[in-house]
Amino acid sequence: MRLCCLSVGLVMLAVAIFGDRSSAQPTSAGTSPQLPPVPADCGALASSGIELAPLPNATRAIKERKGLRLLAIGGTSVAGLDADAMADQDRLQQQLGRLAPGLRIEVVNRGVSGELVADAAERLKNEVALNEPDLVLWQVGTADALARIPVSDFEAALTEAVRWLKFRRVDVILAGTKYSRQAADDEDYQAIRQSVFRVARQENVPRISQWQVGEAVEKAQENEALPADEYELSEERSFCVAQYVGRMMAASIFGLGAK
Amino acid sequence: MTRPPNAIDFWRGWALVTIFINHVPGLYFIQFTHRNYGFSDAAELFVFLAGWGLQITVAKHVLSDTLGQLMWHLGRRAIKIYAAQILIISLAVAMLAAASILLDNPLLVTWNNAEAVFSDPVRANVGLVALTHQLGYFNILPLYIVLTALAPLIVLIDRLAPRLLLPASAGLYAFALVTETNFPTWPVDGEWFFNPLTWQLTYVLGFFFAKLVMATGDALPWQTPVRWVALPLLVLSAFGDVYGWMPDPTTAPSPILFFIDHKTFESPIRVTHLLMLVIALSGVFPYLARHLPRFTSFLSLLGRHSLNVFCVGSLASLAAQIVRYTLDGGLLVDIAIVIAGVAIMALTAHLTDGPGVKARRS
Repeated sequence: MRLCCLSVGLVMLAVAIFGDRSSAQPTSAGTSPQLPPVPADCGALASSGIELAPLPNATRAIKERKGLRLLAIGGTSVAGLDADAMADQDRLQQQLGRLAPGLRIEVVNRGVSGELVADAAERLKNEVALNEPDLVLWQVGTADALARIPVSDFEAALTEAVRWLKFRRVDVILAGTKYSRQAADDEDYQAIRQSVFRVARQENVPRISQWQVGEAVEKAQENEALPADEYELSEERSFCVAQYVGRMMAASIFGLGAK
Repeated sequence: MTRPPNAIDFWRGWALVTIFINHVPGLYFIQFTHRNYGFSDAAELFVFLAGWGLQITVAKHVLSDTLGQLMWHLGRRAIKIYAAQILIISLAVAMLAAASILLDNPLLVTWNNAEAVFSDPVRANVGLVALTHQLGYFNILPLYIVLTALAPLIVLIDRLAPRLLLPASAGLYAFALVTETNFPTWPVDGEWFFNPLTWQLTYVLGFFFAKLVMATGDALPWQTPVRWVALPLLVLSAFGDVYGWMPDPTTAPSPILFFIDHKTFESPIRVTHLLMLVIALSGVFPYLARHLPRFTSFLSLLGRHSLNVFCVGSLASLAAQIVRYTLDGGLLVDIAIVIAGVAIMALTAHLTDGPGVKARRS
C-alpha cells in the first residue's frame, strides 16, 4: 500500500453510542440511529439532487472486512468536496462510524485537478489496480464543461468507465458539475451536467448533483442579513456536498434517508 | 554567442511545443501529439534531454572548473529553476483570480488545483513554496527542481564511481515501484504527479547516453541494429495505443507498477518506449536540418532557451484554457491558440537571445 495513503483509526464515538457492539456491521432497521440533520446553511436540496442506487461492493466490504476503501478521483481532487481533504475523510469516518462501530474508512485521493473524464478514465484503471478500492467517488464534468469537450465524447468516456468499474466489482458515486450562477445559461455546461444525470440513471449508479446543492446553498443564503459572496459560498457548497456524500453512502449501505 | 541549431535543442523545442499543446485540455491538436501514438510523451523527452543537457554542462566545465565550482554552478541552476517556478505559479494564481473576477465566474478559481490557494491560503501558500502544493499543468518544474538539486550528487557519483550511477538510479527506481513510494502533497491530500523517485531514472539515462555518445563521437556502434529493432516496436506500440491493446491493469501481476502504463511512476513500459523513440529518431535531425532548415532553426531556438520558453509556454497554456472557455472553443479558436502560443514562445526565445547577444557578437 502506498505510504502516502492515509489510514484512519476507529472512531470510538460509535462505541459510546452503541454500547458493546464490537463488530462492524450495518445496523438493522430497528436499532439504526439517524444521522444528525444536514446543517441549515446547506438549504433544502431538491429531491432530484440525489439519486440513490445500490452499493453492493461497499456493503460487502463493510460486512466482511469491517473496512471501506474509497478512491477519490476526477477533474477536481477530493479537496473539491471540501476545502480540507483530511476533514472530508474524517467526516465520512464520523458519519459512517456512527452506523457501523469499528468501521475503518480509508480515503485514497488520486484526483488530478483539471483532468478530463477521458484522461481520468484511463488513469482510473491503474488506480483501481493499485489501490483496490471498494468504492470510487468521482467528481466529474466540471473540467470537461470548462474545457468545452463535446458532450457525446464526454458521455461515451464516462459510460465506458462506469461500466468498467461495475465489471470489476467496484462501486461508484458520481458527483456532477459544480454550481455557478453564471453557468446557468451556458448551454455546453448544462449539457454536460445533464449527461452526468443520464449516465448515472442508465448505469444505475448513485449520483449527487453538486449543481443543485450549490443552488440550495445559495437560496439558503438569501435570507441571511449578511449574505456571503460567491467565493465564500463555494467553500460552503463543498462542505454541504461532503455532507450529502456521507449520507448517500449511509443510505445505500445502511438503508437510512439520504437527506 | 548563440550555439547553432543542433539535435538536442531541436528536440527540446519539439517537446516544449508539444507540452504547450498537451496543456490545453480539449484542444483539437492534442490528438496529433505523440502521446497518442505510444506510451511516453513530451514530458519524458523533456526530462531525458534535461539529463543530456547536464552531461553537456559537465563536459563544458570539466576543463575550466574545479569540482567545487561545478557543484556551485549546478546548485545555482536548481535555485534559478525554483525561482522560476515560484514566479510562474504566482502569475498563474493571479491569472485565474483575474479571469474569475472579469468573467464573474467563481468556478475558475477552482481550476487546476488552485482552489486551496483561495479557500485555505494559510496552508496552501506554504505548500506552494515547499512544492507540496502544485497547480495542475504546473507540476513538471517541481520535478525538474528536485532533479537539478540531485544533479551535483549524480555528477559526483559519475566522477567517483561511474559504474555505480546507473545501478544506483535503477535501484532507487525499482524500490519506488515495488513499495509504491511517492512524495506526498499537502495541504491537499495526494501525491506528486511526477514522482521524482522514479523519474530520476529518465534523467540519469539522458545523462548516461549523452556520455556514451560524446565518448564515441556522435554515433554508437550498436545504434543502427537497435534502430531496426526499435522501429517496428514503435509502430506496434502506436497501434496498441490507438486500438487499446494494453491488457487490463487489474490483471497485471505484482508488483503491478512494473507491468502497467503509469505516468506518475514513470513505469518501465514508458521508459522503454522513450528509449526506442530516442534511438529511432536519433538520426533524423541532420536530414531535417538539410531539407527543412527554417523548421529546425525555429525549434532549436525554442530549445536553446528551454527554461524561459517553458515558463512562458506554461502561462500561455493557462491563458489558452481561459480563452477556450470564454470563446466556447472550436477549431478556429484552437488554430489561433496554437499560432499565438508558439509565437509567444518564439518571442520569448528571441528576447532571451536578445540584443545583448548581438552586441557581444559584434
